[in-house]
Amino acid sequence: MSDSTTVSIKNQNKSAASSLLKKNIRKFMNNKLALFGLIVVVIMTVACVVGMIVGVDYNTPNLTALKTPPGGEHILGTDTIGRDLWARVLYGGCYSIFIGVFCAVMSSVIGAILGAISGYFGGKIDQLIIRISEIFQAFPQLVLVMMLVAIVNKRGLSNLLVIFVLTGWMTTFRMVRNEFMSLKGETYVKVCEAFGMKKSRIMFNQILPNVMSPIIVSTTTNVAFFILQEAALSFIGLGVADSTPTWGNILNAAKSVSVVTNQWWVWVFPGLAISLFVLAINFLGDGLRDVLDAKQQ
Amino acid sequence: MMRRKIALILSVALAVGMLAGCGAKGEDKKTADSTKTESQVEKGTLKLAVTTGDGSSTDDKIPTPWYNRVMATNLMFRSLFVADSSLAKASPDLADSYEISEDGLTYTITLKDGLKWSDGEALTTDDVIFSINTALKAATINSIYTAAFANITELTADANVITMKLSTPYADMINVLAQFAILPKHALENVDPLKLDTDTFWTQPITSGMYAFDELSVGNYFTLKVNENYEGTAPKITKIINYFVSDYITAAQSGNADYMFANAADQVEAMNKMDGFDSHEVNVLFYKYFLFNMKGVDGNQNEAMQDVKVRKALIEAIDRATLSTLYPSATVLNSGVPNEDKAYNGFEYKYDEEKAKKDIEASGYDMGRTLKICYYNNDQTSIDLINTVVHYLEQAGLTVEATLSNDGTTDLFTTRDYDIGFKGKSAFSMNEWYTEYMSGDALFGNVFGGDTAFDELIAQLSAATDEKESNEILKKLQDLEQEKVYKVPAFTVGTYVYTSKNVTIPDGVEFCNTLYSCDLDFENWEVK
Amino acid sequence: MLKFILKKLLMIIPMLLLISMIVFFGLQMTGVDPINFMVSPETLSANANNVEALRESLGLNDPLIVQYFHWLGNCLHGDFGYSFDGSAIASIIAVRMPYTFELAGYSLVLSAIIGIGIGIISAIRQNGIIDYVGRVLAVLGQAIPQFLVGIILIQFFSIKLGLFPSGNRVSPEATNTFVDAFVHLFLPVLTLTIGMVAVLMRYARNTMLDVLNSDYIKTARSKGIPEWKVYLKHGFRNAMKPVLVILVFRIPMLVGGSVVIESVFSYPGIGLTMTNAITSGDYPVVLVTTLIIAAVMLICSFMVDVFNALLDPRVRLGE
Repeated sequence: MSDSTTVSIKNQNKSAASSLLKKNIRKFMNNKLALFGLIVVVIMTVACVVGMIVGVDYNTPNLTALKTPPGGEHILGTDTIGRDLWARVLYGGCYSIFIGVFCAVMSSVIGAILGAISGYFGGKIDQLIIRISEIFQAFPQLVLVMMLVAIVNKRGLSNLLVIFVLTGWMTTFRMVRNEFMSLKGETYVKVCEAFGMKKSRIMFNQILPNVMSPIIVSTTTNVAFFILQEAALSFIGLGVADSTPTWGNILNAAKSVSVVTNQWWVWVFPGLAISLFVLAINFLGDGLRDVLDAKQQ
Repeated sequence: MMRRKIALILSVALAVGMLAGCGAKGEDKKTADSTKTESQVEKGTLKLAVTTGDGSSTDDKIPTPWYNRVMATNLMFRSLFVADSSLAKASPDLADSYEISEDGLTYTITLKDGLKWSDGEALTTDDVIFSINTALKAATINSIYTAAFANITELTADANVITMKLSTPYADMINVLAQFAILPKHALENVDPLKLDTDTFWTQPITSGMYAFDELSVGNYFTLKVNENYEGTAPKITKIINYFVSDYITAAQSGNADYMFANAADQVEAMNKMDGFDSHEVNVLFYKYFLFNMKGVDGNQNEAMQDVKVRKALIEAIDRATLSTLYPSATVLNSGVPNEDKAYNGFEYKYDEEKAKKDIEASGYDMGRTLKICYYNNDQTSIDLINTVVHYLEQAGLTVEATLSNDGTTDLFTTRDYDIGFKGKSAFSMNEWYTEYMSGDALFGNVFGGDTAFDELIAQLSAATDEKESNEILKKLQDLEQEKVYKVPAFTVGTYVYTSKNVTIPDGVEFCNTLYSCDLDFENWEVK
Repeated sequence: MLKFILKKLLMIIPMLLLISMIVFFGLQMTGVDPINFMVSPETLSANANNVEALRESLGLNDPLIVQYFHWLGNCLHGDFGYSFDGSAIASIIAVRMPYTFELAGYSLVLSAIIGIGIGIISAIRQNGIIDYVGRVLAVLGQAIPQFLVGIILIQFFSIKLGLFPSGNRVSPEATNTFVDAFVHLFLPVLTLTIGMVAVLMRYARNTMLDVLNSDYIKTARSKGIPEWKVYLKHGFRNAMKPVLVILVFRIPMLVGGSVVIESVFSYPGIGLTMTNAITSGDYPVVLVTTLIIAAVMLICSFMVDVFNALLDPRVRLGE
């Protein structure tokens, strides 16, 4: 941090930055868990997207081949009405990963912006935003989902996205706000202010980078969190409509005790897909954090 | 420094408070429970499971007997008569004897002497009359009762004898009375009939059966003990625990249910794979069927479904025979009458994908619109079935959307939002399938728009006492329903009763439709 | 300080009011007629007059705003109204609330001990064996959907091994209340804890790492203060602030998690009541359970504020 306040020449800064990037990449490559996470996330995402583009048949039931164990024509077997599980898991991945990434990024962006404003300006604005955040925080997600479903009379994907973003930004917000409150008293901020730098520049160019590491950690955690949350909502019957094969909806078969005990493949594979993805994304987040944390340089 | 100490003290206080709160609660319980724990560990306890997952009963009171009957309520509440496993024959229970006049219009029923409720009050003809009159006003009640009791013009009692006069003969009257639970007037006379099934009575009911209510632990269980005022043979099982569970199968697997029933494929499969349970197949008329949302009583009609050619084409697109393989023992049928029944008229809805495509096009159905299906059973097999139906219709070139209804009754019957409904009906008799077509039926009138075409035949059917005569009427009804295509049955599903090996059931017991009541010789059941 | 606490505490009231309004009017917007739930359609058309009288007596014909204040007034008197199936909501809450507090309380304590413990050790011995094993295990626990963990635990512990009951909270044959409570709580608490530990561990580890790399720890070390004292006195205490925030903010998640877990274990807490009310459309119950959960969350967030203010004067000065 003290770097930014010392007087430096532009070029020197640039080369320092590029060497820092190289150093970071090297550091990341050395973190085996993080590398593993990155590879898994990339492979799974690419596989799902390719599956969707190629147009795997995830939706044709075959009642003569229902509950087929894995192997042969169906790599992962078939589900309770004979749909190919491999195709469903691929297709479902697109939806689930999309839900996770979209909601995590959107809620982090909203959380970070509001947190920065709230923490930096303080006073009335802070109070107002805090109250709003507390109201959203206090609302049980379930009730919001239910109300929205009942009002628009449809269990659509967009409902879920809206609700997740609306109820998901507060953790990031709190964190960013608290960090801003602590950091705005720091000398370098005072110096910038004394130079007459624009407030938005101080907030987003000077202070925000120092808070990036917790934001990145919380964004990655949130991707996983939202994927899991979607599965949980599906489980209690408030998720996306059954016809959309999200991982949560596929995993829903585990509600039936008979499936749990007799057709392990029907729930183990979607369960594995969720768990592996969540696991990988968490490792990735951890690794990024270790690399990005300025204090460890 | 000071502040940090305050923080520390606060957090410690919080933790202590939380633990103390939990601890204190635990102790309260101990004093309440320890008094009965000794007497509770005894032999002869039967475990039943009451499911709260399907919304038919809640976990803060005992199930009520006027809509569906379950094992626990059958053991607590008796009727004037008791049915055999076919539900079509009944013998006296609370009644001592009965007589029906030649014209079938006057019933004279004599009650047994010295009957008592579990609280010691006398069970008299007043209770019977009160129950029948209240049933006609009650909010939640099975339509077999209202359909039968609506014919009663006069209901009087003289000492032990009840005289009941009807406007038209009703062949099933005694069988219906054999299902109808008599409730205690002295405990319920001040309750609004509309709120009857939500009254606090159901948290500590007074009973007439061989068991009396013992104790209710909200959200956990309720227990029954032997009713000392029961005049018949005392049962060998001295205590019954009913657990509130969200899933029958889990309850059975973890030993919390000695008796249960299932009809969904996944449940039957799970139960059959379990050791420790005997399975008994039960012959029931459990219809799974499609209904077309035609028109409300308000005249508000669903344009897209008005053309009978559209309805026929849609059914042609659905392969019901293949669908039936989703259920363990489903039989496809084409009307309210099973194919093997003597009264079956021989008509068959055939599956033909290509023909369906052509017929839908020819009918002028707007292929651009979304066909909406509404269903309300949320078990895995139902969801699987609906997903398959959606697939069939999509194969025929339609755009289809299926919605799970949170409240089947309202969504299915009071809105025009959907085109096809899919529902199940565990019918008391074939007649019940047809009474749904009555123009005055409060539920189906809202779907079929109060079409009066069926009324006359149905009236003849409920009055018919002779088998040949009723078969003739059934044939006519089948022709009519296949011409109208309002309801199309997919199949009937078999029901299985499972009893655990802990239970010894006396010889000759036959189980009946599990949502109704019949004589199971329960007093001779034994538990290891 | 006292003024700060009081001010924060008073803020809870208007917020609860606002939330109650949003839910109340939101539920009205869904266009559900309570009568449809109380009376079967058969009766609905047969006894139109009675039904109309029922509607009048329930006050359903009044303007919305009147209904709201009527409801609010009753709530202030401790009368939360009745569910559509006729039970007094106050008594539903009285029975179920303690069950949920029990479940959430034990899970919170257990996961805090395990999560923070492993987190700190793995920060101190970064990249050591405990760090790796702890991280993998915790993240693994977090990666599997909670309800699936619950289902698997039931399959294994209660069905295969028969060690614990598969549901409910009280059994009628209990000889010892403590044992009864233990066996019924074990699996649901374990399920919730498995999900919670990972998050707490991550945060404890991350913040502890931050603190250990900070200048004042380096200063403290350079002063020659013993390692354990550095960790405990300087490291732990400073790392606890964000961890505490996360911990308190996990309480709502616990309540949320317990909603799902309660339906897996058919555990008769407030969460199961709420799920059932939501799926069956029993809106009076949804309304009250929502408010209770909202109140719990607001109190948690109040506690976060107070702790923050106590631990970091800068936050308070910023107000």
